[in-house]
Amino acid sequence: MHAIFLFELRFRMRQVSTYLFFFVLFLLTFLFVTTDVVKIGGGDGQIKVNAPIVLGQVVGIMGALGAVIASALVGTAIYRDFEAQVHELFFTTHLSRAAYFFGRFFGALVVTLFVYSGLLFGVLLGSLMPWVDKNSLGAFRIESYVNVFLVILLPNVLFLAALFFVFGTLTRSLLAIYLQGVLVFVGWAVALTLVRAVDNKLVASLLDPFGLAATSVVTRYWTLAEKNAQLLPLTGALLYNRLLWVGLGVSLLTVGFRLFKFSAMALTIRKKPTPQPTPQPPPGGAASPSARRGLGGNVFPALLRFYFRDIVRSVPFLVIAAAGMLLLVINAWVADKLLENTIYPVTRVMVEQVSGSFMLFFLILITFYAGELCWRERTVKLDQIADALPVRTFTVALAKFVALLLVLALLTVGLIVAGIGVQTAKGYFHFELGIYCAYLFGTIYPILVCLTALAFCVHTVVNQKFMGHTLVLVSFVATQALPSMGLDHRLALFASTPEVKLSDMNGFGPFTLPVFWFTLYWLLASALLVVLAIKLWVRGKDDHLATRWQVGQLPAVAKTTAVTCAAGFVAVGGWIFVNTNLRHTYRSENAQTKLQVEYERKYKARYEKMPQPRVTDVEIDVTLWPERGQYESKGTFTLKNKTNQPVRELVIQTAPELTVKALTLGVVATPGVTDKDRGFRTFTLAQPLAPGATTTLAFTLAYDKIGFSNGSPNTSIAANGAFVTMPCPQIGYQADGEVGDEAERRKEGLPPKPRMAPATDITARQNTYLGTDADWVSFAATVRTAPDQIAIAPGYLEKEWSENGRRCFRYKMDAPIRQFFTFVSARYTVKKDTWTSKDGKRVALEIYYHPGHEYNLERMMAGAKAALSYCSENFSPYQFRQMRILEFPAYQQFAQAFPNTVPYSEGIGFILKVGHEKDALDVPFYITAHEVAHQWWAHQVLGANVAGSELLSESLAEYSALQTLKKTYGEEALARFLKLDMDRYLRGRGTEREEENPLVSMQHQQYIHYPKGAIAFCALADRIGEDKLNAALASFVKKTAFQEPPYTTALELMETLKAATPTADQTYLSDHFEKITLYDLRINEAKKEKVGSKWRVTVRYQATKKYADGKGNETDAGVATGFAFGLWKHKERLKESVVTSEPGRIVLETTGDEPDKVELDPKHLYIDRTLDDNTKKL
Amino acid sequence: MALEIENLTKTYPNGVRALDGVTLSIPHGLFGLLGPNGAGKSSLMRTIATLQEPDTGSIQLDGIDTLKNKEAMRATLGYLPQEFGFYPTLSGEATLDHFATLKGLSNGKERKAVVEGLLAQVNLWEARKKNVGGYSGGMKQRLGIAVALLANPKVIIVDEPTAGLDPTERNRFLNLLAEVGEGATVILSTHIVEDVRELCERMAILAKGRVVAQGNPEDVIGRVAGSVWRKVIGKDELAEYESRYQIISRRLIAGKPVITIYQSTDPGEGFEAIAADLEDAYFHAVQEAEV
Repeated sequence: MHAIFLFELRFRMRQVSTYLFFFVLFLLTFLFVTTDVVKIGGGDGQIKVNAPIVLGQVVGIMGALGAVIASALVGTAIYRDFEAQVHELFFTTHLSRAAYFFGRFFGALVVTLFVYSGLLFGVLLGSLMPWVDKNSLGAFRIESYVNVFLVILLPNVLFLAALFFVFGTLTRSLLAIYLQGVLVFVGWAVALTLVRAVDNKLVASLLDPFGLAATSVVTRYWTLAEKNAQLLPLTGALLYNRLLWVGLGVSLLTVGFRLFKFSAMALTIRKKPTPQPTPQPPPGGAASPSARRGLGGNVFPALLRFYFRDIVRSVPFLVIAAAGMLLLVINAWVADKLLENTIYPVTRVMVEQVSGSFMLFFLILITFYAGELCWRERTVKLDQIADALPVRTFTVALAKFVALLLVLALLTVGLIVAGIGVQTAKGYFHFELGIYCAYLFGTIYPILVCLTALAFCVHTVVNQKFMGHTLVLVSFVATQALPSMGLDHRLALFASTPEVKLSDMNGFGPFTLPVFWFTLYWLLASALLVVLAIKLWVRGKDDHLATRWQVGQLPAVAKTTAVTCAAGFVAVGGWIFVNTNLRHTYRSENAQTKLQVEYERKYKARYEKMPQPRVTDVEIDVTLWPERGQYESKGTFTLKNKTNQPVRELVIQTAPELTVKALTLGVVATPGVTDKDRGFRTFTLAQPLAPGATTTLAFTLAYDKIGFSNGSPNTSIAANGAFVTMPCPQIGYQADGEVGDEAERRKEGLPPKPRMAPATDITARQNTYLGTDADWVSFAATVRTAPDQIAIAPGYLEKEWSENGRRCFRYKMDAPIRQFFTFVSARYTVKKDTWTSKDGKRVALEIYYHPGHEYNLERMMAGAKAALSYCSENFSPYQFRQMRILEFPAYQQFAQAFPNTVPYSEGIGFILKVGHEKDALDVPFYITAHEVAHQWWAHQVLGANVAGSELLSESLAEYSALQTLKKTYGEEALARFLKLDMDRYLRGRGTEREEENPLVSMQHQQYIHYPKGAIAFCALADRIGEDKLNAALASFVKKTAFQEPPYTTALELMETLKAATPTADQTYLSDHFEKITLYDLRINEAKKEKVGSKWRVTVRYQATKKYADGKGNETDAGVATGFAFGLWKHKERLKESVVTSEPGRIVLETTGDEPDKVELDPKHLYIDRTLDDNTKKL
Repeated sequence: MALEIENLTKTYPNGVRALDGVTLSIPHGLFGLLGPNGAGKSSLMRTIATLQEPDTGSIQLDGIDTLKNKEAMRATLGYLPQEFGFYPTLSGEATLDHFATLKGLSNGKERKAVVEGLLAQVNLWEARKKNVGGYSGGMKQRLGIAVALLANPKVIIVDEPTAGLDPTERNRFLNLLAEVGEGATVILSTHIVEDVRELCERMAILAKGRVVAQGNPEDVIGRVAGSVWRKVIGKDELAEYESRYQIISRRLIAGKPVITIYQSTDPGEGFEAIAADLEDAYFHAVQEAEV
């Protein structure tokens, strides 16, 4: 056995493929750590990528993906002997059956372990690379790797190896061996989806052979600190899982050994009958002389067909393509999931999904087959015969190149078919074949062509297969890694083109131009590479590069092509340079950071605290040219010195990409600093502006760039769906322009940037977080746009006319608004409605939408109306006479509330699919309600620029939206949303980078202000009564709406809330708002009995409370009280009453239906990390 | 067609001088190239077959410089290298069909006829549907021959073709070669003297990269005629004879060493004069080169 073991080991260790497999797995995780190309599990930036929990995940997922490799390694161990027909040699020796069987197995197992350890080495080496963000890495700890190797990798490989070895040995079919790898992966992927539906987490975690589900079960309580530090514990679900699968592996092996006979007979299912030889004698005689042909150019099609078939019939191709297609379909299947919601599988989303999923497989295929094709004849020692054939070198080279391109094209068509297939399966039939083709063949396929050319060229030049593969992969990685190392000009990054973001409204939009030129540029370069590859093509035995260069012959047409392409390459490169560096400003990421660093160094000390006037009136005239991606913004600000000091120097900040055509002050002033790179200017006033005095600032700013830039195109001025926010100067030094990233600041030697000011900071309270240069302003705007578009700005439409080929609109606000406005323009269809308030005020409702996106207009309209009703009835009257929702392209995914105007991305809401089932979540309704509620909570009441202020805007908008939802859809709908909110909050706090804050002092933490804020307010409403809470909020609105500085804070709101809360509930209030409180509620036991006509349920439960600090350390805070119990029959909540209640035990009663489930805290008002144990089946 | 090879030299990067001023005139018909392993035969074959560049020298095919105009050679060449394989998952028939296409047989019907004819000729008809990966060494060799014979080449180069063949197959092959040799220039490279003796009108002996003899076999034999002597000796006498005579071959006959020596005068000592054959001439020539 020892000898067989060593034999197997030695044999495998001599095989290049062993190292290749190792390298592939190595590369996957290496890329995962060092670039963004590979995204597997883990990595949301907070958990360190080398933490055991992430390592385990990576090893698990990649292990599943790599099942094909394991199968190739292990499945062939005994099959190989049969194939080479040496099995008789082994079977006739003194070797025992066991020694042979297990010797082979362990040899193969060790090799597979070696290959799989590439995954760990990839992370290990990747984490040492200089360009990797050190913040994403924890300290190097060898025990993490050992831990993951022992707990995850070893059992996984053991199981896979046993499975594949036994099946490979028993079937002895190469196809079966390769397919089983794919099948395991498929089965796993499918099982994972199914497992999510299993209620019992332990059972679910056992079903995953790779231990991922089990790991997540045992680690789900972990805080961030624990996730980064703890080793994977071999306890609980994980232990059972590991034992189960290792045990299964061992059993398989035992059974396999029993079935394995020392005979040549395989357990074949079906043997192909050998073809009967033709009975007639074949015709004799050699070819007739007339068959003689000269050098045929016409052999190209034949060669092309030959190599095309050669690829598509080879096993690696089938396996890789099948695995890729499988992953693709799985990904595409869930592509319509947007967080917890479902969207319509629109082509835009599908096409990005299918190409994204398959990209890695394209890369693998290109790398592999470019090498294989270059070496095709040499591998089988056919090169001398083939090279002496009367076929021109370039015919062969081109045939191989084009054959691979055809295969890639075939797969690309496959992507389209898969995409359409999934759409069809989902019942969506608006296929947009044009978008599929234009996107895949217009933007993705050319990149593949370039990479193929590069791969062929590298393989030809290097002329060492393994080295070639390595270099090709390295060059692919380099293109991904170089930008983060400072080299990010696409002119220097092979096959780099801007990543297209599609929009239903705007199609390919501003991406068309740069994609076209960069693609052309790199295709020309690729043509040169192909010519070079042909020139250096290896033919014959003289394979020295110098000899090949001398001897290599190019047909005249190739020379012409090369010259033309070279000229074209230079010309197009020049043209691109003109666009990216002359027409636009090109700065590397480092240079950009430097710019920001200098901004802070140069100006902060002198200008940040300098007294500045504030804007009081805005008159603005914006001309949009959506058709050419430009705009001009002309306007006049009235500035008032609201400070008690004279203003001597005025600081004006403009966006650097805007050309400042004019800046004129209403008083005499001399320019001081003019820093165009940073858009920073100062003016020294001849006469200081006295406190209370006013002046004007007239400005003309233009986005007048033409052509395209090196980075992402400017999508704000889209041809259809322009969304231009604040095209105006800002007054004063803007702290937003500083480097925000702490790591970057440290590197640059800048002091740490203080987090938000405390609510007690009276200076900070002079401003809201919407900006520092204005309080409430009067607003009037003219917008001019393309003749076929509608342009909208905040305010009421006063006039519409045409002028100079522009369609012009005049909007005016009749009440002061925040200095926060936007201009939107598109070819809209408008849906109109009216909402009438209780006291008869009529408000015009309008949805400006992209034709085709009619899905949810009714729901949005209903949400707007319901929110207007709820907020105006409970808080204060609506301050505007209209409410407009404006759809904008999916370049960004949000909705944002401007005064009486809500731009709303096409990517959310408009294409959301709300099911018809009873428990469907009406997300469009809810989002609209949220944005409408912002008209109160942001546009009436707005907190100061201090910690906790989002409680007044985001949390209350969310609360209002959810209460609106409850009013329309009932308590249970609210409970479902709160359950999701609880999950969002709990997941969010696991990713906190610095410190979690309680609601009252949160600092822009999105995971707190939406979900936790919503839960806290809903819980308070439940506890003290919705009316009472709303009355308190109404009084707060009354006190603070439209206030001048100092602005209100969360502390002031807390005072109001405390005043409205009975003494008994003060702790409850404080627990939710002022502390980080976590509850652990669980039902230990529940029994039901029939008492007369009623059902009586006795529940024993446990309820504790914990306080957590900002780092997640918890302290016991005693018993929790005050929660409700609910009885359920199926999904129907029953009416229950409490019979008796004492701590830890409660008896409930219900009439009529027999309950089948009891739930603790059915409204989800207590933040609890394990909701599973809150219910008990009866 | 006639091949004129002049002053070919080739030194490999590792310093081995594979060809050292090879000048050969190869007329129409079968031409035997004899030489021991490492003599430069394969290098010469490859150079003629356009697979390798010489350092100096020229090759002319009916006046065309095939080093410059490789296509002229390839268009009319049938080449069977010493070591070769095929696409393992392709059947014999498909392999032949593929190469037939590449050799310019674009007419499908015609090609089919040619392929089938050759399959029969090389005795692979029964196995034509089988994947080449499953072929035995001999079958592979025969398929190689079939490929070389595709499309009526005017120059056929076969490098050690009979090495892996059993006697029947060898005979069959040599007959085939003799047949095609009538219509083409065939260069048969081998270290088996018999092959040349049986087939070739013209021949050359290559050793250490140099042509040490060429002409028709009789001419070559004539160079040693009358100077070859043979004697049966005792086992322990070999060393002594080796020091005194130029031994060109030694073999065992019925367990006793028999030596053949080259000497223009009668050595006496019981040596008997024998009629020199090609093998003697070959051994002698090779030995001369090595001294």
